[in-house]
Amino acid sequence: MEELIEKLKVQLIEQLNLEDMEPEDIDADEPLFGTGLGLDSIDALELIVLLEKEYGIKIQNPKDGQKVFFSLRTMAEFIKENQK
Amino acid sequence: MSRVVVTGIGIISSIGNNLEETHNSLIKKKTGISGIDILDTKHRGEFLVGEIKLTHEELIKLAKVDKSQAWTRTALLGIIAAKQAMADSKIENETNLALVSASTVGGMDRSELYYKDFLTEAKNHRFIDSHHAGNSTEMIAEQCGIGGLITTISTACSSSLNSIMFGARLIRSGNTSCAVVGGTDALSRFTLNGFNTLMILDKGHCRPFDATRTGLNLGEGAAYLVLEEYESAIASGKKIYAEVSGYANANDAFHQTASSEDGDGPYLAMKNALDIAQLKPSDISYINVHGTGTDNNDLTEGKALIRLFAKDLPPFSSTKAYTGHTLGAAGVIESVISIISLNNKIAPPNINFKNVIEEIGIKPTNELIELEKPDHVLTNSFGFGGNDSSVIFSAVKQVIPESVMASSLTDIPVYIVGLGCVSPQDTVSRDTFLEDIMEVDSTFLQIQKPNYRDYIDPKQLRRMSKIVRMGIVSAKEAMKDAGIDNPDAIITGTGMGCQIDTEKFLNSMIDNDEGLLTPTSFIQSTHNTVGGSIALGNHNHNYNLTYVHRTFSFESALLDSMMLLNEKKANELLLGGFDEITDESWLIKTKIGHYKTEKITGDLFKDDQIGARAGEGSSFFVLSDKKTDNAYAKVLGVEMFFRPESAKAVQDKITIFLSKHELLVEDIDLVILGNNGDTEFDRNYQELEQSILKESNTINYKHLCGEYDTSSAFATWMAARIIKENKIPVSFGAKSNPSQLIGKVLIYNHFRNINHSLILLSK
Repeated sequence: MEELIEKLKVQLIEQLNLEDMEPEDIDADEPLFGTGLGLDSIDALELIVLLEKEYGIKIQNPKDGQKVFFSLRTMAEFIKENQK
Repeated sequence: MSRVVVTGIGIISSIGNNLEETHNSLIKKKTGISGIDILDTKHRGEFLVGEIKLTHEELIKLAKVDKSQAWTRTALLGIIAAKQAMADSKIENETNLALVSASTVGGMDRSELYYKDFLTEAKNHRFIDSHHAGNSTEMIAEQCGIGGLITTISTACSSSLNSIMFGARLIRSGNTSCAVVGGTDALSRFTLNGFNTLMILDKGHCRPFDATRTGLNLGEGAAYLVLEEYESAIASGKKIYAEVSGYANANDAFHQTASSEDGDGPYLAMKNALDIAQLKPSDISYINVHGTGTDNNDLTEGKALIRLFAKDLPPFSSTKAYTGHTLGAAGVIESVISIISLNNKIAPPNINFKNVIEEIGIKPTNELIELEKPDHVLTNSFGFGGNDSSVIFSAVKQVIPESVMASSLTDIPVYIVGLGCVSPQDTVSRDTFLEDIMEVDSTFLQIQKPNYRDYIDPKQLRRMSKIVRMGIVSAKEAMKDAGIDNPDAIITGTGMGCQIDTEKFLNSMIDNDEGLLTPTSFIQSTHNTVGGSIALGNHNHNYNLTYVHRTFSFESALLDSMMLLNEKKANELLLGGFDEITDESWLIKTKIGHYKTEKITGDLFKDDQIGARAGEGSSFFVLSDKKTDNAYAKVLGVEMFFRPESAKAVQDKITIFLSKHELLVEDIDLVILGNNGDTEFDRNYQELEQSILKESNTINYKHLCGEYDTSSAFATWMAARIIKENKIPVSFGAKSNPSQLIGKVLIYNHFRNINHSLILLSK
């Protein structure tokens, strides 16, 4: 799990073009949206594509993204559960 | 102030090829939404669209145009609708007839087919020059014999309501007596895939204002209205469909794609349109809502309706379940539907509606109903970049309200009171003025990058491509220079728009065969991204328009700015012109001889390679109706003309333009010319220097900024500083420091002898 989280940090920074950030700046449990990292709805759509591209997991309804992308840990858990 | 009426209508969409068919489909609840048959996409069978079931060849026939020419589907749809409108109004080749058109992605329907050829093989290169957003406008002007001012607006999905508004204002202000206004957009893989990345496409039929809605259906089409001055329409005994009584544009300033929770932008657009028309909410008989069928739009538009209309909410409906969302054409197509509603005393049903959205509790009319008092109808269009517009059409009354007639034309002087410039030269700082010219080490000129972090929050910066960054920096510099925090309007021009994002989305769409695409570059590719981003950063809810017509883009924005100040709708506004260059866009234009391919070692103006040296940049100005201590210059006027017949015609245009300002050529102290090193077209300038400008003091500017569509904004920046400082930069050598005062400066520029423009500044 921790390994996957570390990998996700790098992918997140790249996909969302978070120029100033290093993987160690992101806490696995902090909220990605709103108060935490401050991502928005467009970022959520970018992350949906990231899941499909890197992990072969499709999210059909963008609203489902809210729970999955709460934090890096929830994202990693979701990947573990859904990856074949 | 003149009243403006509609005397001709032309329309083509998936619910009909003309006005009568459109009317019939509406009353028979006949939708145009279907599977995809014409557009060549891998999403066939997956999405439903409002597609016109005519092939490219069939459209060429219907448009009655020469099949050997390079036509985009967007241009063909536009020509078909504009020809209908002109025939309906019985207007012919009038030299004073203006054309204000709109489009979101211009010639993308062909570009996306041939893009890889543009970069490589000499096949399909004739479609390279039909890509820009103003192309369909020029094709319409040529096919319909329109000889007056032509321009194009692109503010995403609100585009064509803004072209109706601008056309009406051109007539009201006396700039022209008649105008063809509207917009056109064909379905493209670019927009289909783009909206798909946003996950707001409904795979079934869209259900606007229904609680179970899950998104929109895209559509295509074009519509045009002929607008005329009321008195002359009456005098010539014309059929009058409606009066254009109100219009407004406002910015939501909330998010690049989503609407604010309470629909601030939509509320302001509707309210301001009512104010212009001097109407109360209870006067409106029917509203054709934007109603796309997305979760966000319908909820927030509904909230805005309740805020403004409260208990007086009239019957309303969205007609997007008939036509699909036709993007740049949506505003004018729904205007035609609103006029049908006004003339036939009906409200077209909002088909597919069943369940009321609980949060708002309002129900659109889902049956064809008769209207009790069809005096005034309102229509809404909202777009990316928070760009929101509303237009009101009214039944024509003989009695003119006194208050309307009382407001007369004004002639308020317009001053440049602040400026900011990002260019291939060191221009951001106002402490220097082109003293040292940058050495050029590439075939085209690129901007000197400012430190963006000094101007833009890194969190916002990560999505912004070069054009947005330089736009914001120069806009902020101009506002700082003028000492203002927030302008009363933001009016911009860009010829090619956000090329980096467009290329990025287009390439990945083609390379990945329409799969695994992400939304950011699609969202950022819209032409009004810079204007929208400035509004967003400044929480600016005011008027916000973007003109996208090659070398008329900045000039149109300047004209609009001067009109807005004269209408007293603004005291201080922000005006800008910008374009960006990329390796790929440069390469493509070298294929058709527009740009030079090799580095220039000697004098640019004596270089014998084909084409111009390309460049880029962004210049912004704060214009004010008051002369401040910081004032640079007064803007006396701007003029655009399309395809002049001869060199003599250009000379006549210049002398007539000057005479309008009671000036002769010899009264001009300095002429700034658009020579760009393309010997074939620089001949135009030489001919002038050998004729009417023989005795004039002339300088060039494109050796500093390169050739790009909005380079006249750079020339304007230069002229303003020359006038204020009363000196020509030392780098201009012998031309520097003329003995007398530089009181009047004329800028003349043209693009390949097609689009010509004049800008006149004075002390």
